[in-house]
Amino acid sequence: MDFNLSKEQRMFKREVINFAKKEIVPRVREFEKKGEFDFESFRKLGEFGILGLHFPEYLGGGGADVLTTVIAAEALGEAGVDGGLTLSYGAHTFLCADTIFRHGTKEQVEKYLPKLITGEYIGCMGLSEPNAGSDVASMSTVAEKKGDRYVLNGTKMWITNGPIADVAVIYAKTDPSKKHEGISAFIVEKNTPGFSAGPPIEKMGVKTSQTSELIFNNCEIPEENLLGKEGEGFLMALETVEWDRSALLAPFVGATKYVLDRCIDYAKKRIQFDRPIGKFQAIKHKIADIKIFYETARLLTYKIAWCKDQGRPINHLEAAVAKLYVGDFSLKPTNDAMVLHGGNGYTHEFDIERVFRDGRLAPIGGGTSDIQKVIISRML
Amino acid sequence: MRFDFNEKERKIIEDFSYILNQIPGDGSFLYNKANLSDIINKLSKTIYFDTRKIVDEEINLNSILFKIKSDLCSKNFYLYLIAELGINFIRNILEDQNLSDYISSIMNSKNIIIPAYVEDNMNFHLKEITTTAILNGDYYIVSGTKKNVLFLDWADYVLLLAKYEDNLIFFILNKDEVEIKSRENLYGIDLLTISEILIKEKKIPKDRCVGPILDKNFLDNFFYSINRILIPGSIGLMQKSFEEARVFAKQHKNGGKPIIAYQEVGFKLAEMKTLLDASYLIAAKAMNTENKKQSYETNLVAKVFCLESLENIASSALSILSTYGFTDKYLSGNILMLSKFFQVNGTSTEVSRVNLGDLCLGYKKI
Ligand SMILES: Cc1cc2nc3c(=O)[nH]c(=O)nc-3n(C[C@H](O)[C@H](O)[C@H](O)COP(=O)(O)OP(=O)(O)OC[C@H]3O[C@@H](n4cnc5c(N)ncnc54)[C@H](O)[C@@H]3O)c2cc1C
Repeated sequence: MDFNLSKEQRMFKREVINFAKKEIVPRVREFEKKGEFDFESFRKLGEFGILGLHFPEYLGGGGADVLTTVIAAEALGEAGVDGGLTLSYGAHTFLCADTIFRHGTKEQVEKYLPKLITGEYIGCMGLSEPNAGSDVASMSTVAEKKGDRYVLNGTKMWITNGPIADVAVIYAKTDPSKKHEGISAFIVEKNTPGFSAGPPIEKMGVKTSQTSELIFNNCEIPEENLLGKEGEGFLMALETVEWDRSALLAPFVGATKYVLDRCIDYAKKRIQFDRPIGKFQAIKHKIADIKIFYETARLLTYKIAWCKDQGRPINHLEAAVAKLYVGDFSLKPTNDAMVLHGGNGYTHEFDIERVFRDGRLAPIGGGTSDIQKVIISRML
Repeated sequence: MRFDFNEKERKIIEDFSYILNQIPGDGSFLYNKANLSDIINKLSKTIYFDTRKIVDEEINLNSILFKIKSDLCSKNFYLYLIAELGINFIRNILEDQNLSDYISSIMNSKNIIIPAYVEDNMNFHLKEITTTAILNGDYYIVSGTKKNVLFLDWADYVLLLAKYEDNLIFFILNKDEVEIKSRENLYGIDLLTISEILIKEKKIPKDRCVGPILDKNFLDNFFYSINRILIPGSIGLMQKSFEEARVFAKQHKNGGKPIIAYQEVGFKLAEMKTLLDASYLIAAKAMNTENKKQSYETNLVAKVFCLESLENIASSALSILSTYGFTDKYLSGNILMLSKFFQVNGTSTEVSRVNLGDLCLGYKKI
């Protein structure tokens, strides 16, 4: 065992933090306040190489391993990039682009990946539905084969980047008589007749990511937009789990470090009872607890990434453990951080409440904490 | 990064498991000192006591020690605590000191040397120590009272901490040389004992002392070393308790189905497993970090997290095991008590939190 990042990984992480602090973080508060997507920052992520870090170089990617990719995602959170932008990046890169890359034909990969990697195209992934969240196998969106086309009907719900996406990976049933085995995946482009996105949903956190319904009303797509084979959709969605439990979680973990640094700074400067509040044991306890969460959470996420780098088959148990841990255990440290900042912690000025709000998605998105417990207990 | 063991490392761990299988799982051996010596001898032939056996760059010794220590504690926590506190601990803390031939020979022959350091009003503030040594020619005259001395019954020697002028100093005393004022069984782990001892103007030759110790970080290292016993031990205990609950929940039926099928039980196990996995990683890291500052910091992180997780896991295990958990067949009850015992020893979890906070805030420097 060896728990150290390599020198290169540490340097790269520093580079990402510096880039994000300079180019993105100064814009966060404005866009978060407006609840708008920051196209400019997203494009910068593409320019810096983050959107396509793990894709091969011939497609314009960085050719990085999974661990390095996770470190970059963590670094964004650590620098103070908001959870909205990192969620948009996650859905775009790992749920949409990666699925096309892994299961698409040569033509599909060459058509979409280069543009997704630079950020010229924005991607999204539609799995959840109004009545099929945790139980996605009961989805009712259908894709009916008619000649050389598929006709999609149904509604997807909670889709990150939904209102702004150029390309969507959509899961629909090609055989509604079946559960998991009846699900297939498709690429659907913006402006396809019969495809529309609902207005952005107002949310508690991750405000700069745009979330909406996607509506398919006799939406016809060419048969070559099928990803992989019919009936393979559920497995494809499952394959994104490792990304979900590593690269998508990593910004939340990094955000805890951001919060920790802010708390340390505040505790040393804020004077009460003639001394910095950091001198009180209760404050030290809070800081210690945030540190403990950060250190443990990052090991769990790194481990998922490392296993993926080793080419090991998905370990659903470990993936669920990581998700459950970050989801459920991040509440207390971010709450502690807010309380440590007193009244200031409750204001938009100090960013802490933003991290708290953003972090509340961790036990819900990509499979709730309860569902992780269902998975773990079944696998024991 | 590497999160697993390579083939060579796995082989060493397997070899150790082979010896472990020959060791009883309960505390019965404690009734007979000869049995204890026999088991210690068995362990002496393994990497557990003899790390010199490993000289290979591909093998990460710290990782292996972490694993075999947690395995040993899982198998028999009585043995683990005695072997760690009575043999390995002394070696670790005295590693950098000048040792007389007399002391070296005692240590090398696997005698059990129990540390006696706690006093009334003095636990982690060792500077307030009242046991004092006065130099008198070739002898020190030592007087004082020590509390909370663990496992004295199985000791061959006592390592007594005292103050000489403004510095710390250790003395090695034959067990018969100390007066035992009181002796009690540890609550909930009754095969283990805790004693109060008295030393009255005892003349101790110079070659039985270690020190005076001038290293100002010695006290931090002292507790750091105790934490390094408790951290891997806690992983072994968590695994034991978790396994008891897991197996029980799958076998025990209620309402016509195994109780794990009820979310109340299944989700408890899921939470336990999550704490266990997170603890395992941070414990392994704590036992593996070379950089001094990081190592100290991670030690504190692991001390708090693992020891509190141990309590949570053992407590949940008892809920799952229900009344069965209170029978001799299961150890989770003992483990719950041990978790509190582990929490208060070394730097207690409270003090560890404060120290960790101080480190983060830059108030404490390493
Ligand atoms: C901001 C945001 C962004 C999202 N982005 C995307 C996206 O890009 N693409 C996408 O496809 N989806 C996305 N989602 C959807 C997300 O994955 C789902 O919200 C999530 O899976 C939960 O589904 P649900 O909301 O329907 O809740 P439900 O499934 O209705 O769950 C409600 C409650 O019941 C509990 N529950 C359900 N089943 C069980 C059970 N068997 N045992 C115990 N408890 C149970 C749940 O834990 C939860 O507490 C996003 C959601 C949000 C909030």
